[in-house]
Amino acid sequence: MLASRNVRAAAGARVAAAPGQRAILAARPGRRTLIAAKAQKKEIMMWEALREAIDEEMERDPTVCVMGEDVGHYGGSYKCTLGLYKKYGDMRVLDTPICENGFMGMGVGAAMTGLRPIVEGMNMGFLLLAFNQISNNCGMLHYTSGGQFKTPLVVRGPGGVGRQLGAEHSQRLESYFQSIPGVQLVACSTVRNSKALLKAAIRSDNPIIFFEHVLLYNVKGEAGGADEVACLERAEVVREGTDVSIFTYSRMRYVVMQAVNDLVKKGYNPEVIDLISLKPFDMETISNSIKKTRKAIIVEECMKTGGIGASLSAVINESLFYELDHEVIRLSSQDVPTAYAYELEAATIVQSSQVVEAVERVVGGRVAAHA
Amino acid sequence: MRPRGCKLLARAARALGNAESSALAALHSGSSSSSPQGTLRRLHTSPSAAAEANTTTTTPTCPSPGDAFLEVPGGKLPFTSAIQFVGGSDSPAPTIPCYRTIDSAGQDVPDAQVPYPLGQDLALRMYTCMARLQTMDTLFYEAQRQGRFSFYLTCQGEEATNIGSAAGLDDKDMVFAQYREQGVLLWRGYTLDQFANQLLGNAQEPGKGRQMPIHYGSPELAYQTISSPLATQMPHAVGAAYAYKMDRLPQVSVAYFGDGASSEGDAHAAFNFAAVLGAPTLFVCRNNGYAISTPAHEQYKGDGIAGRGPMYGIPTIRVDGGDVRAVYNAVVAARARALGLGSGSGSGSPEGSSGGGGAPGPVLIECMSYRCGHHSTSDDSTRYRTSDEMRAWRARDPVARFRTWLVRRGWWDEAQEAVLRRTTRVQVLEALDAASRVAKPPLSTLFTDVYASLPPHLAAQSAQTLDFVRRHPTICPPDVPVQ
Repeated sequence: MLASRNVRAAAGARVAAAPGQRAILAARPGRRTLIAAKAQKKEIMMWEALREAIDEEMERDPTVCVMGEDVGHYGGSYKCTLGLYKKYGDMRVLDTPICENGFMGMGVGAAMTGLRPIVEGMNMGFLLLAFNQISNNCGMLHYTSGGQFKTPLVVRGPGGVGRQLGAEHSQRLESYFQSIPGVQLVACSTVRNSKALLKAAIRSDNPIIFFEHVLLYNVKGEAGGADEVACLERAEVVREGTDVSIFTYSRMRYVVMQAVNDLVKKGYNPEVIDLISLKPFDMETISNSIKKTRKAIIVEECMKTGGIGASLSAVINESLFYELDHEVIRLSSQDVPTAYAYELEAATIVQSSQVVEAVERVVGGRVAAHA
Repeated sequence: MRPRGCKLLARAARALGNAESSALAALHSGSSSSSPQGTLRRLHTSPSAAAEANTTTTTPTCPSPGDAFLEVPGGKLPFTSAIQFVGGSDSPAPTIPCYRTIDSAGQDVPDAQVPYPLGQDLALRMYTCMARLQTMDTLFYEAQRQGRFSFYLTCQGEEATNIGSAAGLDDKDMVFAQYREQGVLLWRGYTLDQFANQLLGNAQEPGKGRQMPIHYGSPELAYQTISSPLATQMPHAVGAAYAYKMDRLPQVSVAYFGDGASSEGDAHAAFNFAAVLGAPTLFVCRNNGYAISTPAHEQYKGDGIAGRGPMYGIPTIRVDGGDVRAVYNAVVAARARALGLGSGSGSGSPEGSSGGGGAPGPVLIECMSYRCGHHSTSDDSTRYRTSDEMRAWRARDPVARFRTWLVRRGWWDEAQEAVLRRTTRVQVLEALDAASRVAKPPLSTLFTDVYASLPPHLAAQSAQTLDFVRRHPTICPPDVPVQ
């Protein structure tokens, strides 16, 4: 596996959801989930978990630093670096002028000089401006220098479709970045995995593009301790099942689980895999699932054209063709700029009812046998 | 703050700019720093301020009585009653003059300030390096024309800029070059064998044949691997300087770039960031008059690149790039200034120079010269400039100029010149021959170093590729081993 100096997460993390998220979360994660059993365990929001990860890693390793717009005194637009400048100073939590390609290049140079920068894009979409530095330098320099220079940085920020943020603030950059050789793409989705994955990403010697979702920062859950560091290349089995393998990531995980809620009532038993590692894919987990269920549905927020689902679909087709009873179903966003109007925006992304319908269509006849 | 407020705030931040969003944040959340000025981001103007975690900004909170100034977050600005535009062709800013210590005839400029005089040893070391660079460039260029490797570019006309600047740096100062700075590598000790290995992409070159020719890199010599896109190295240099500053190391980073590259957005970003952050970076612009076929007067309208420096708050000097002693002096002085040490301790400090004491920060040096050769072996510059122009500039060869200066002092003569050129020529040819006998890197290294270690999908691709080649051995050229 990739040489990130990480520790495998506790075995419990691989099976179903973490205790803090045993309940199916609504597709609008701003709501609290009221479960009495969790009253004793401390629940925090995802932004706090990310902040804890950054804080712990900065404390552990003096070469870790943060740079980006408004990350210092303002604490980050999504509070992921709230107050850290007071603890670590203005140099280690660095406010930069507005130039994404500029501070991305700066992060590359600092990484090549021995630091481990965490470069924050205020919105992933703005990192399109940083594409040159990410692609031509960050991704390439370890290779083109023959391994003499490395760029161990983390590029993180919120992406995905929010609530009426308009097309330019609703980009899904994993589509664009996935082709870049030399970078790893990781998408977090829960409080627990966000903290554990970010810690792993910071410790990795590879450049990691770390996708958070703009609507998940206030999701509540339990985070792991300072020693819980996830494996960056391992997918998460959210729900074990037998009927169909649903592959998803980021906020679509919650959409899928909402659909699963309905599906279970109808007698289905879907297996849900959160990809986590968008590049490279965890083919071991993916193929184990498909060999079991023989049906694959991909639910993503990327556009249909050129998204993560497109790549995954191709790879499944090439390597698992004879394990499939059905073509790979791909539920993706429409190939349109994301509209501002609420209803239009909702119509461009995948809704849970579409997931339900896809499962019914693909699994279909077996329900009769169950009933 | 409620989630919706968070998102609205993020959008507002993008739309309105950060200072106002800080004020909005203060208003929204009722944070402890209730005055808008209290939430303003601090500029890193001094190392002590930057190092301390908890000092607050010192912008004034109340406008002064009366209307003497306009006091806004953007600055404290005097008023004028005149409606007057500055800059542009109507009222151009004064042209920044060019620092020079040796004239075109190889004679000392009588009143030149030379805070760092060249002793004989240093002068000869610089000259022999310039001459070797010139010979090496000529031979490698010809070798490419003969088909021995695919690409080359020379730094002819810029030998003084290369060597003068390299000599003025510390060996550990990290260099972020563009692609026409092989003289810096030569100065630091990159051998002719190493040059030849990289040009031929053989198994002995540390880049493992991954990059095209002239894309050298050497961590040992503090020279970052060249990356083709222009000006991307400039923000890198600022990042390195930031790392040095954070670790309190007495190092500067150096970004070389051309007049054409200075038009890139990355150049602007690097200047601005370095100035704002007080990063100890030397920006060395090789203004050689051409960006492939685009002459400088079609590249910019202002006073070159030096004219921009002061506008960013960067101390700037313009130098005769063909005068190796001037370049050397400017770089030594600039380096000290970048580290916040003032103008250094050379004998006869230039009077009138503000010491620049205390605060680290960037310095911009624009070296004016002429690109004597074609842009590269892929270019034929006779298509866009006259042979007369090129001939006139060859007569102003910086190597010849310095040689004349040395000969006047009795430190060099024709006999030594002939020996140097002959032995260099032999060494270059030997290096090329030796490099061409080394095998290329094996095909099995094609997939390594993409990541820190080989991931499953690349291991699979590698296995497929090697298997295919073993089954079709004629596909692989004879000098490329498979494993």
